[in-house]
Amino acid sequence: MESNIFSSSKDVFLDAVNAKDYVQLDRVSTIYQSLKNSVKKPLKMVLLYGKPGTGKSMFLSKLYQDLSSSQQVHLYQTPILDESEFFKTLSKDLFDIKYTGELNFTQFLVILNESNLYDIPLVLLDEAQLYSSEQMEKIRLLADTRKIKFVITLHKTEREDLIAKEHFQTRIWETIELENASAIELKMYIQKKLMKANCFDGANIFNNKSVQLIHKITKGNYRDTNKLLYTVFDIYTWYSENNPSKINTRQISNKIIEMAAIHTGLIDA
Amino acid sequence: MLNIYDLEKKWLRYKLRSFLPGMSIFIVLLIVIIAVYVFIDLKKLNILDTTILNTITKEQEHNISKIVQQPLKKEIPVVQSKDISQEIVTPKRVEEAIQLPPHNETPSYEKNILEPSIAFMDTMQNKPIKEVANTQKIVPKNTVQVPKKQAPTTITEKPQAQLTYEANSITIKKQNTYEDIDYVIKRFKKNNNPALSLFVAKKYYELGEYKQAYNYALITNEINNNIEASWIIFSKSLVKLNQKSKAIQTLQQYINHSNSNQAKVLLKEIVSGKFK
Repeated sequence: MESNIFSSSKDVFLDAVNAKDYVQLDRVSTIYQSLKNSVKKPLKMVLLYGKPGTGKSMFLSKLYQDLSSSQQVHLYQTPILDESEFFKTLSKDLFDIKYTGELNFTQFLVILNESNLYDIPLVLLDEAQLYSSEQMEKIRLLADTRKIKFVITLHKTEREDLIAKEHFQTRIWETIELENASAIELKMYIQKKLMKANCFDGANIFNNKSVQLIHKITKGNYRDTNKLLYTVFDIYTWYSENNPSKINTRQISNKIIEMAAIHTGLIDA
Repeated sequence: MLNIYDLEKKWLRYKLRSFLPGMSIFIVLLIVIIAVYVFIDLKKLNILDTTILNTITKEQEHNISKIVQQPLKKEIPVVQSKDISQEIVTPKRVEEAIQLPPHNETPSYEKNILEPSIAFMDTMQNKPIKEVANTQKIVPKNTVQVPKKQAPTTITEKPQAQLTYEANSITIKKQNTYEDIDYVIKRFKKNNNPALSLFVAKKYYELGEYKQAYNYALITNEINNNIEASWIIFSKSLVKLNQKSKAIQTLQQYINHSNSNQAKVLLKEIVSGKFK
């Protein structure tokens, strides 16, 4: 196998949220479909939660890509923590009204009530755990007007679960939990991802044992798997360029997987 | 930027560390297995030792029983030679040990119930028989050198003697009979084997210690009353202890019980006065 093949395989696992890289897996597809259905329902908010690296951002990105052609959807991958800036951004994006000065919640509420939009705009807020409690309360109040629909993602930690309970218990919520992949799902994820990028040789070197080792190291976390495999192919690239006799191109080496895990900090050596 | 050499070293360290718990468990298990194996081996050796000892003991018992079953004729010359050896070798204490009870006292064997004497029981319980054996050991060298004219045959047949032929520089040593008896008595106390007590009875009879011979023959009869040789020694001892009538009575009872030919022959000899 040529070093450029390892190199191209490496690029497949670059940690970037891109809807084009979305991999269709059975369970993920089901969840995604349920998210799409929830968006169509007259719900005020949809809560998408899960551990970091379970694909929440990818889901939002995919949802944005799929719905943007049919309805007004706005994706905010980075939280806008300044309250005035948040409302000004919403005002500009949803109603095309530009504010130069300060815009507080009351002023934005007036704008919202005066608006006469045919479609209810969908606002996708990623990393919502970074918003303050007050800001979350105001987002909730905006959702109560039923003039904006929110889909927010939260990291699932103990504290954030509590926030979710306090803020969202009394509201009409759809909650969708994302989980890590199983070993079989992970194998499919890796191979589909590689094949999608036409890296067939790269996809073929993964057998069940090597995937199980990867699953053991990453616990099925997609982000960690991407990070690990990026390093794995990086190491392969180095060997193919400097010491090709040390690598077996037909089967991925457990040693290189472990070396990559050490390098990425997934294994404490 | 990847530093593969450093990464390889780290990987090697990680692998060694990951093998450590397994290796530790393996080593501990290995030690345990070796310990168990050694323990079992030791146990086996002990069992083997015991088996060998038992085999040896059985062989000795077999030899003893052979000795016990020796014909009477062979015993007689030894009894005859005893007097000389007693005169020359046996110290005072041994002579005391074989002394008969005074005539005015009623001896234990005259009672209807045949029992070992109290003195004998004391001897069995407490008296270290080695003392007798030791006294036999302290035989001055010149006591063996008995003039040939007096009793040339008795010296060679005497069981406890140590014979030294300096001219040829060949030393012939025979084990002390009393030591033999002592050893057999000890073993008899452990296992109560009538073959052993019979052996002791015969040995005492050979040594002229008729009272002891009587006692051990009596014990043997109590353990097993069907041993012909024991009844013969018992009766002979009674005769030697001047209890001829008792001996005749005992033999008659035994003949009625067993129809023993040897007993019949002995009875005839006692009655006719051939055996004194």
